[in-house]
Amino acid sequence: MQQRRSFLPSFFLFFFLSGLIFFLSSRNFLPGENFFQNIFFSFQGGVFQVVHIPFGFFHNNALQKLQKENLALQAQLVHEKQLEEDNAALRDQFQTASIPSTSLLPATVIGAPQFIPGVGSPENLVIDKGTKSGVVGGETVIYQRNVVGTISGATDWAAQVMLVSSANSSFTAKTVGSHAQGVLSGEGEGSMVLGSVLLSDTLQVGDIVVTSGSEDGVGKGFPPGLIVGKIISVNKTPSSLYQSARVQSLLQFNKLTTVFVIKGKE
Amino acid sequence: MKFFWILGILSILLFLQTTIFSLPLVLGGLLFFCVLYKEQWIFPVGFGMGILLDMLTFHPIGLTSIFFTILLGIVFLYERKFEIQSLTFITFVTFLASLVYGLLFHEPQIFLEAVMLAVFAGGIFFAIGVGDTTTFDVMQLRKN
Repeated sequence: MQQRRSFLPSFFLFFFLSGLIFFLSSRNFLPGENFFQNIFFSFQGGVFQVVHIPFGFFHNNALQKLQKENLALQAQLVHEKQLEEDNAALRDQFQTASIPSTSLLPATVIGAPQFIPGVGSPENLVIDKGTKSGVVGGETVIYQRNVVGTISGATDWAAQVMLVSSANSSFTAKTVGSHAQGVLSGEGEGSMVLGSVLLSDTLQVGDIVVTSGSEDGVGKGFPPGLIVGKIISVNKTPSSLYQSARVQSLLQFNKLTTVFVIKGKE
Repeated sequence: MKFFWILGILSILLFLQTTIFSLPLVLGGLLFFCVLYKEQWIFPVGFGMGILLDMLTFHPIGLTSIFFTILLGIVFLYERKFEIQSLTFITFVTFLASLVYGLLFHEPQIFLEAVMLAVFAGGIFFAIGVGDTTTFDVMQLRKN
């Protein structure tokens, strides 16, 4: 009868190797890490493009065209509203609400893992620009003036974008119509809630929600005036301290193929 | 030859997991082949796949390898005393492992993903089984 070899030497060997690599990686002492990442992210980009195509055949082209036009019109509406505010502020000579000019870095989406591809909404995107292209954590990612998310992690050749609808996302936002301020939190699966809004403020279904602005001096955080989404329902009870509203993004995150990283001032 | 096509399948699962699916497909594949073949080469395979997975998912490199190594070690320990080539075992261990993986790496919809992965693993195991739904005749597969 053949004697079975113990698996313990293999187990301990690879457990030790894994621990060693983890330790070296946490100290940034891992040689060759960037070289392998470059190879695999390039391959991942190709795989994503190939796999994404079948889901594209099921997209309604006319509907997509209308959605793009809607995005452009919403962006124009917000821009005109801010021009009005700028105009009024300049007249008063007290303040300005203009968005500071920044440069945009285009990036291709190479990964968008989701529970049911083409149907669900991803929590994160992976883009093909990393620290070698100047991308750093905390920078805002947008598409046609709509906020997509923030850079949550970056390697030399790629970066991960945490979507605004991610359960870990939270930032201040306001409505365009009534300037109601609140905290916008992601709930996952493309869903967001604008909470902590005072009862005295007005929330209306259909109102556009934009970022309040939380940018620091080096470009991290959300610039003001970026479109987050549209209010689809309002939850207001007189007995509560605050009211909230459910917000839906105007973007379909699972269909994005190109996004733009807002580069901070250097 | 078998080793290379298993590596190929796991590579495909790796790229599917990092591009379009949020399910822990590599974990399911590793457990499946570990149960199917019960051979020690699964350790270096799990180690390598863990490293690649960490690189492509922005996790600390080495963390997934540690998890896979411990998981495979537990499966081999269990295999010393009990039979693991059964539909019940593969489904149950895939479900549990996926739950722990989801908790460890803060994946969304942990329970649904664990259920789906367990169903996939169990379904494939049943589909390639030789009639019996509770045990699998690995000797026949090794001959082929």
